[in-house]
Amino acid sequence: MFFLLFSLLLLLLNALVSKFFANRFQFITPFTICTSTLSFVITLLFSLTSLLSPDMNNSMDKNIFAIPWTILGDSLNHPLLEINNIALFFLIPISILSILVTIYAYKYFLNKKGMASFWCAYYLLLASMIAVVLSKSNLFFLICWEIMGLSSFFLVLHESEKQETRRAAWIYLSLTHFGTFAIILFFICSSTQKLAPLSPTTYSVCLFLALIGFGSKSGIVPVHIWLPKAHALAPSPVSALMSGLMIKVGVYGFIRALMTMTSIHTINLNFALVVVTIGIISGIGGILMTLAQHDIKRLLAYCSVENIGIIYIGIGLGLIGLSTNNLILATLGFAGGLLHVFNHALFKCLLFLSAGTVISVTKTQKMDKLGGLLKLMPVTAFCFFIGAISISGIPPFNGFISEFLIYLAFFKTTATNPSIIKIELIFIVAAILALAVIGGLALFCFAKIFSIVFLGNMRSPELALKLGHQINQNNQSLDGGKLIIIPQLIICSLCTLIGFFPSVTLPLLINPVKSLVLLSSISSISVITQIEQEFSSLQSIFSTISFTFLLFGFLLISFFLLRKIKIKLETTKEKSKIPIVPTWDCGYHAPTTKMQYSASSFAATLLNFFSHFIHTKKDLSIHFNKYFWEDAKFHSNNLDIITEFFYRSFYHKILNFLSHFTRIQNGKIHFYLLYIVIFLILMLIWCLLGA
Amino acid sequence: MNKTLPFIQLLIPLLLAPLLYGIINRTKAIFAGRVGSPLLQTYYDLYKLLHKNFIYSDSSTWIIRAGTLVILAATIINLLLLPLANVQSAISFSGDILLFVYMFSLVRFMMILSGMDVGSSFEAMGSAREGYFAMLAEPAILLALITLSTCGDLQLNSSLSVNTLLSVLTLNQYFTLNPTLLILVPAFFLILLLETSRIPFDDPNTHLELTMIHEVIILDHAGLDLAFITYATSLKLWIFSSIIAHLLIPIDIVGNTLINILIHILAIFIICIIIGIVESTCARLRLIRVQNLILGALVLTFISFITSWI
Repeated sequence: MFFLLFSLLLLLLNALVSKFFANRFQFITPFTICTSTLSFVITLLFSLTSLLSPDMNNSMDKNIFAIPWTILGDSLNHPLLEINNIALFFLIPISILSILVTIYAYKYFLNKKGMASFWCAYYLLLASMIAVVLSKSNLFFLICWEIMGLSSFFLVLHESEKQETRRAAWIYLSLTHFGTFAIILFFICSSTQKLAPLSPTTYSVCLFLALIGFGSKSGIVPVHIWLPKAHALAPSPVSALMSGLMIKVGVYGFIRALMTMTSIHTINLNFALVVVTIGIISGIGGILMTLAQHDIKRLLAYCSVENIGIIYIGIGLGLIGLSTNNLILATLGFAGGLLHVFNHALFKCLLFLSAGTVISVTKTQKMDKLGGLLKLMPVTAFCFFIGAISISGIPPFNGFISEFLIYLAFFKTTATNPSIIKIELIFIVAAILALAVIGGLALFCFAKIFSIVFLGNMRSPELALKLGHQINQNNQSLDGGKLIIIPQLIICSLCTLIGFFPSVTLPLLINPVKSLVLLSSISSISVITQIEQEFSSLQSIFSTISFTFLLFGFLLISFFLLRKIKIKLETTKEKSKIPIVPTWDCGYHAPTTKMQYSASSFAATLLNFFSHFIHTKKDLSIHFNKYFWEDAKFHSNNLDIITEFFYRSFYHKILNFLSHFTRIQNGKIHFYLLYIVIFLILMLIWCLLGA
Repeated sequence: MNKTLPFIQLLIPLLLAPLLYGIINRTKAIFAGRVGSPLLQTYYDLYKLLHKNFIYSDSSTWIIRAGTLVILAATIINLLLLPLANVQSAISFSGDILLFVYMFSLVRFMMILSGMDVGSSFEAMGSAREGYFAMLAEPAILLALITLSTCGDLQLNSSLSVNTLLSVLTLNQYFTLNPTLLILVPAFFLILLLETSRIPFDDPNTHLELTMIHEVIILDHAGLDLAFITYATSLKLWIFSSIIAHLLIPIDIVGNTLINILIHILAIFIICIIIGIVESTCARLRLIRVQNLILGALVLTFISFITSWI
């Protein structure tokens, strides 16, 4: 614990130092990068060793810092910080990715001036994420939660000269405070359970508040509207941190709330079903909106909503398992959900970092202007490719493994409960079908983004000229320096490692899953052995999977060699290189790169199919020169259906209602004098009656 | 289940898969009153393609080169997960049906990217359609597999592998006419027609790029790459026909493994003849109608899923 405290303090110190000195001295920023890396390495080592150590179960409460707090349900001498298995599990992705993103961010912002405030907010965000995960006291949790929200608000505001960014940051700030408000209410409600057992209504109100409060941070669907805006307009490393890690802290908050609630009551089945439903809605809603986006970062941001949906489906399945005493469902559901937290953090950071490189080189986020970047930035394209495959849940990468666990939870449940129609079964089947639909749509979305941005030819001729010029000048690819590439490659290799050898994740998962399953407080020893059995069967499944994937790799390599030999034979026989010719153009002799499929045309048929759920605003303007078309412009914009029909109408209703009150404040002074007189008379009457 | 014949379940499909195209085309020729190409035409085609030179588009990258390798390798992995009559599959583990489904997703992903790689609108059109229809078909396939996992011997099915799911049909059960399986078979047949890009979803023979799906994606493939892709799609045809054959014929009819395998292969050939008949008697659907047929398959699997709980 001492180590964690040390790294936290180091991060805070970094924040202070960068705020006051980074603008004055050049060496401060690299220095703080080094110290923060050190602190994260310490955190990582600490969490890994304590998660893997066998005695962790017995001594879960290694408390420190006993300070008397008496507010919000904390009794006297309650500890400030505490380590538990789930917190340790969340610390692993936080520390790994913070190191890599920080290194990337250093290079990304290297030539910018006046970054002191940015770095201060950046380190505060990193420190607050660790502190939120570790905090035991509710008040301290809220303070850290608030620091996290505010520092990320300032990071989103980094490019505050754009009006769009200011608006996005404002929406983020209001929604995050709406969430905090729900969390405070939750703490107040749940703290009464220490005095007397909660009534069922209060209990469900509590859980609902927790879901809304923490859900708004992690971006579940009705309260997600801040997420695509803020993540798309923040600088790319910040989007990576927010999308990869901060929304996961929201998930942690939800799990933490569940833990405090279940310490007295067992989990209610209806609540578990609500969580699954919210997961399904977020997943499908998120992926449908992802489909409609033409902006790289906005697409990735909506995709986070989808993946949060998958995580909530996993946790929800686990909760159903807990409430119906189905341990297999509970174990596999929680394991899948938690592993997806880790996996999504990995590939979402990877995708945002690669997208960041693309954006910093091309200076545009619009997919329809890009194309053919694979030839200009091969390493970035490779990393994005790995990230795209992983996030679509395709083997042999890590996204497949976590979705596999969630599917397996379902299949084992149906196989062991034959021919009983129960309410939860309907929800489980719906969840699985939703996962299948999400999988298919995610594949489509990521095939779209990768092929439009990196394959084919550059769609905007000006950009093609400019980038070609840059390449000729520097005589190297546009991938950026080593500090940009290496963090991405490390995340790539982690994705591949988990994909090919999924059993490495099991020792990390077993303790957190145990402490989640034990929430239901059934007779614990038999439960633990059952969980361990389940994990050992997973172990054997995973080893077969890695065997299959290795075989797949072997086949690939042998086919590759076959092809190589064929090429060798051919080139030596004909004494010439492999011919490279123009793409077959169907006999048309003047093709331009603008004739390629664009992002909108790629998704058009699918969007048409889902036209009830996606609101597309089309805008076609044609200029006539007497009789002929001179210039035509087409612009289509896909609006978020929830923003449009839920929030906007709600907002208008409130505005209409409040506009009635403008009569009172009408700007005429004699009315105001009249108000004062009326008020004074009322006061007099009150005084008289009171006497 | 017999394990005495290692790799026969891999070798037979690898050898016989290209023959299936020959059977389909011969059936179509007979219906059209033509003599038709030889039964072994696909083998000749593959042999010819293997001797052709490489040629690539100037806008293509390593994606198109790697794509063909990945597609073939992933299809072969799926072949390893598939049993052949009563010979068990080479690899099986609990939940390998998911690997089976998602390996085909990998194939599809690489297919879409290879189409997009050359930067032509034709290929892109095919890619977009491939992704669209596959997205509709994926829930149907998964639901069909879920349904299979709920019928038959449950003790056996708790292992949830392709191996056990496809052996639900035993000789004793055969005459009880399980409604679940009866409804699943046409659903699987529709999925087969879609996944192997046959009429009425896609036309393998047309020269109009605007109407094709699969054939248009591979327009810029040549030589060894085209051979790999053609071979992989013929293996895919084998895999899906084999699934249907498993659902129609009990795996262990006579007790002799060799004769069982022969009966299974015969069933696959008959399925191919049926595909040929469908192709000669149906017209290709308009593109906007295709989605209705796929949704029909989804509804069929859903009905069979509901019957499996009754």
